[in-house]
Amino acid sequence: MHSLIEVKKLGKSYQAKQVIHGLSFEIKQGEILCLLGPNGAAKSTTINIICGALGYDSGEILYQGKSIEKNIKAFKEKLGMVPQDLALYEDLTAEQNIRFFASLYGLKGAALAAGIDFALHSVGLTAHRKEKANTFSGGMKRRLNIACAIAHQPELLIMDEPTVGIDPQSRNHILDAIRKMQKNGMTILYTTHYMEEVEEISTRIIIMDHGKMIAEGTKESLKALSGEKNIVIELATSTVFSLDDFYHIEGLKEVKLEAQQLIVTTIQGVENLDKIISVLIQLNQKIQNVEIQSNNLETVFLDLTGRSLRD
Amino acid sequence: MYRFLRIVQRDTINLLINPMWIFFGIGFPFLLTAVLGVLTEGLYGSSITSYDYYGVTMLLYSTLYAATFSANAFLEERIKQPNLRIIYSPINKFSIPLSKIIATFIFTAIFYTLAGGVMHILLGVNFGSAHLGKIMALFLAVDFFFSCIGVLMCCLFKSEGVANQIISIVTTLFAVLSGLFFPVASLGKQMVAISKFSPITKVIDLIFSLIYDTAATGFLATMGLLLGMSMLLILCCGALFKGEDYL
Repeated sequence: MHSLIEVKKLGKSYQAKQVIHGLSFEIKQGEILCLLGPNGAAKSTTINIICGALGYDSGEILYQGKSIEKNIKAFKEKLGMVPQDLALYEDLTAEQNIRFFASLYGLKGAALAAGIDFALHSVGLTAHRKEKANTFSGGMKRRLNIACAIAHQPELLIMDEPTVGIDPQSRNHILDAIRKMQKNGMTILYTTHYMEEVEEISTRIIIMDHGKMIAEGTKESLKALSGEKNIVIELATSTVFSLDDFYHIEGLKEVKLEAQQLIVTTIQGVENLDKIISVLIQLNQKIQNVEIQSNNLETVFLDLTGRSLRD
Repeated sequence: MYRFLRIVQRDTINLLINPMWIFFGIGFPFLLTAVLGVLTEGLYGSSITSYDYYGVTMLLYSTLYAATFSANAFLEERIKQPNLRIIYSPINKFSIPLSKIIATFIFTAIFYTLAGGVMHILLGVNFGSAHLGKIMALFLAVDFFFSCIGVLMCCLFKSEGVANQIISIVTTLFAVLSGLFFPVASLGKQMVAISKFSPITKVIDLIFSLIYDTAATGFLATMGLLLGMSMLLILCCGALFKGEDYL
């Protein structure tokens, strides 16, 4: 996969406050790159700069190796943007909304009709094409918000938190649509603070906080960054026993006994479950259940920044 | 050009689907003329009635309100969000303020012309006959100039509320200075001297001169002044408008 967009040492400040600090990353052709971070991480600012709606103080953004600033019109022709807020004419039907916004990309005649059909089909609103946007549910409006950005079949689709405040059914519909669009060759830059969505759709992830890139990689590689996992062993009875023997086990970092639960924190990649169980058997403890709590992106974020994604 | 025309079309429709604005466009000048005409009927003669005087001045006063229409067309919340997509699209950002000016001009030109017709039929207001085309051109030039002022205020102050407050002050100032409600002479010599700098004073004097003296002296100069100032304001809008104002 080659680079579609390269962001190099991007810097942006509002008045005296620096909000983006030398941010560098690339968006590869055909991937779903997720920008994950809490509110205030500068995700929206970053994408508004990339799509040319916002200026920046330092750095460079390249599209297919050429400066976006110098080729902004050509770049915007290939760009689809789904803003975080609903950007629709409420008094127009779904079809009329898409028709108007697609015409801004020069679509007319048969190409415009085909673009409208494609967009409505992609988000599952074909049956509602003649209905006014103000009669739609929140989830349907979100889907229409996406449809208005894809009728011209952009090469790069930027989505700014497109699932905020919607029902699970609409959310799944949107995520399915995104996967389909990627399969058809569209490159997608997706910002969110919902790590479940990132786990579901991302090809690659950039974790951002306070305008900086904290980590970058696939979800598997990012989870490995945390380096620890918890093993929770439920015991048959609530007894107190010495935990000293556990500390001879390789890779073990901490052991806690809480009522009937033994919680063992151990280093990722070290296979020591059999040894932990052996010690419990030696201590005449009966095991009722064993749960291995794998890391998720939330815990990775917590480890890297010391705060929660929803802080 | 196709893309720009689509934006102008959309902006014009957005104004046309607002019944309050349509009422304001027709009803406002008509009601002002009717009320002031009745109240001051005894102060005017039979050759030039109070309706003739206030019909012209109140229609001109209403055209100053084109600034309010254009400010709303530019920054009204209902329209602001969809306009955000235009910022993201491959269209020159200058198209956005320019389109609002043109759409407002189309809307107000239609409804103020209708208002003038209604006032002529129902209140018998004399808008002249020999130079009706020139008189209409002057009204429309003021209309266009104030459409530009409204958008410029939005580009300067970035907020519909603040822009409307400033526009309200500017409009009232022009109306009082140009003697649209009462003769400016009653405010003293200094105000009379100041009022001569107002382009609206020139317009109102010229319109009455065209109606009653059928004298067109200064028509081209006044039109040139209004259009020149409008062009200047449009250039200022282009320089001041930043797409990120919408974000």
